[in-house]
Amino acid sequence: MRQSIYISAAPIYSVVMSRFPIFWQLLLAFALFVVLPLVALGLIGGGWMRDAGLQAVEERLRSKAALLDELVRGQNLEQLQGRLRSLREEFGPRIALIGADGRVVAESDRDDPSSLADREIASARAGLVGVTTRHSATTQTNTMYLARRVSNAQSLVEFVRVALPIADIEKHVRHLQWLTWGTAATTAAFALFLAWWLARRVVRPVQMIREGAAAVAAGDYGHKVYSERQDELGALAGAFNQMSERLASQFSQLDHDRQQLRAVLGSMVEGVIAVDAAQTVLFANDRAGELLEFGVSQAVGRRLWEVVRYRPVHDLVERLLSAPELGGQNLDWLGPGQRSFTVHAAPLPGRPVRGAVLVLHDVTEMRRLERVRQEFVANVSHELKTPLSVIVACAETLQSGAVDDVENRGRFLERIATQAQRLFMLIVDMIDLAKVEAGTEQFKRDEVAVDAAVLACIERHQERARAKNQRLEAVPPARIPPDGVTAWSDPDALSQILDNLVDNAIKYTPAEGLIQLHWWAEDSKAIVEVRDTGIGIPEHELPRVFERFYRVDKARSREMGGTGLGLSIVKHLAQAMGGGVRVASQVGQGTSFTVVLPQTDVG
Amino acid sequence: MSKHLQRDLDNLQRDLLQLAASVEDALHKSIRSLQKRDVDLAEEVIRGDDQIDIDENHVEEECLKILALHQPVAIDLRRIAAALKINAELERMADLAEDIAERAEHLATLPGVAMPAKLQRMTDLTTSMVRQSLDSFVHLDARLARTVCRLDDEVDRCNRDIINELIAAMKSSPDMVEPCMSLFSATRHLERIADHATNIAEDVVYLVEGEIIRHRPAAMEASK
Repeated sequence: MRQSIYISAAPIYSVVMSRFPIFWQLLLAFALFVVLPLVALGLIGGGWMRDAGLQAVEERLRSKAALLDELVRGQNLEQLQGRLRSLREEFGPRIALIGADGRVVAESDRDDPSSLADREIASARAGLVGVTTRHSATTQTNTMYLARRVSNAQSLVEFVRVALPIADIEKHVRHLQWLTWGTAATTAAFALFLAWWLARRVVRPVQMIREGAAAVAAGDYGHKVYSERQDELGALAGAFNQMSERLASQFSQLDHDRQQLRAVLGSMVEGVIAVDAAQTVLFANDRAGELLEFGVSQAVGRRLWEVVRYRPVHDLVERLLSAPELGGQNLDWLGPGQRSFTVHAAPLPGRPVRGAVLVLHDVTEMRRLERVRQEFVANVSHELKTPLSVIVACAETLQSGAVDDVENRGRFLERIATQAQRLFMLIVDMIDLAKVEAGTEQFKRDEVAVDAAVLACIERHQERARAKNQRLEAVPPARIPPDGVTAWSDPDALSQILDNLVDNAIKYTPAEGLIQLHWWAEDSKAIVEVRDTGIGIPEHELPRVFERFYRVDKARSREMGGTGLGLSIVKHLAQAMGGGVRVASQVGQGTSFTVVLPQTDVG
Repeated sequence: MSKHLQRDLDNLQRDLLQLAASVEDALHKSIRSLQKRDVDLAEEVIRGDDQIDIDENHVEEECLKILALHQPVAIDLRRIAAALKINAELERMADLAEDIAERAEHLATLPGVAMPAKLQRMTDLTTSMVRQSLDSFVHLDARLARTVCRLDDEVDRCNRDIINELIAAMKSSPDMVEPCMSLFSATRHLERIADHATNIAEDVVYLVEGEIIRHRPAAMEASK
């Protein structure tokens, strides 16, 4: 459409020409300006030469006829007939004498002059002289005839006619024409060659630049064309190379920037998805694919609802795109699996709205910590409240008169003392834990003999185990190193770790149960394991047993008099010593806690 | 293809996939409510089913509207046909998810019963089948669709094992009968959901290749 407008505004010639290759354009121009005038010259010149030749012949015939008129005058036919041949030789032209009736009475080149004279006689009859040019039956050539009325004719001869062949003139004209055609043909051939050569010279570099431009368009930025020419085409090639270089550098800059942006977005912890107004995904980083479970490589160019199949996200984006003036929006969303997300959506700047950017935060861990904190607060208050309420109740009972009841007040006082003791233990445990966690407690690290620590621990707990009819025993390692198994630890911390673990084991192992303490050295680590044949811990509870106040069976634990902090303290102490603790358990089979401590100072 | 048809098809695709998203979500929540004995979550699934039914009707109306207005042919026609069928499958899935949620509610009132060991595997398989069947629809991926069809055998195997385990548990103690029956029917619902996912995958093969592989094992195995 637009092209046709340009064409109509341009001169017709260049429009028509511009449809052909340059070679044909040049050839056509040469033909128009060289060959055509030559041909015209040949045609016009030939005609002109023929006219001039005929004119000369006519003049000659005219003078001869006038001369003949003199000779014919006053002679009779017989005399004339006798002289005709000599006159012909003298004169040159053929001579004929014609009677008044137009019949040839005598002719120089024929013995039986019988033919009728022709149009020239008719013209001569009308005026003085008649001229025609026609094919002569006698000589079989083109001939010019000139007839003249004889002045004062007395004899039978009314007209004299002279004739000359014009073949010579025609031969000359033909020669000239041949010459012209020959020259024209040679020139045309030369023009063809010249056009081809020029076209080649002009077209080759243009072709090269065209190919170069095509290569650049196809993505080969920085493509160069080589031309040694110094003219405009050479300059064009130079300009092309410059452009190509600039393009290459700009594209590489763009590419670099894009890569950088991609790397930045890709290494983000948050998931990022950008969509346009039609909800086509423009960009998505790997993290977004991970969080929303889609393949990033397949996502770009697809609609958001095809990529992300979570209704809350769809609704959020739809709301945002239909009312962008609301600006960024947040969505708290319990996503797939066990994950929680905060999705922040913001419109892309522009009006009408051009799209939106979604940023996804994985807040699973945060939510978990929040829950742990809430549970902790609830637990602490609960743990503190239970003994206190007993103390308050007992105290109130005593106040309201029981203090005088000698028989029973002892029981109330005893309960107050027990609960106060429990409260005290709880607070001591919490302080211990807080100190270990805060890292404010100073430990005196030293080489501790694990064997001795284990045996001391068993010594301390043997009484209670025996009371519950349990077997508590130490199982020494199969191969004892020369100087025993040692750990790099604070001796008190190690004692507390073992006490807490054994205390737990005794609590949660039924009568007739078995509790074993194993220890050995492995990979320059000292390992102590407390195994019991207790009630065990369900698998999904295992990761949480080291949390503060976490209890697998809440009612039972409290009945056992635990604070819910024992394992938490074990974990934090072991970590403070540069080691760790892990747990394995099977419901109904038993539990084993494994404490790993370094054997040398790890700093 | 006319612009209007293209736009209507786009909208249909969006509505269908949003329905699919809701159904997937309901499925996840119902299974989670079963495993965690979470009555609130089960309630949520049961409440959400009404909206899914409304959405299903909407998608069906859209399909019929496009058929009547544009009279599509070839791939467009197959797309509408597939959308109609997938729509129905999704609705059935949502109903089954609701049934599972009801079982979960009931189970929560009963004494705790150990979840069969293979239930987790069966759950994972089923949800991934649902997911992959819808993925194959989005990406018009007949190969993925055929993979989904083959996964169904594995789910059936899990189902058999779980039922055997439940029967053994019921035999061992009579007061386990009630919770085990609930679990039994939840498992069967799950198995049915996997069947519906298979149906969707078969619809996708039809959509992409124009070949009906349902009830035709030979066509199923073809062009792997």
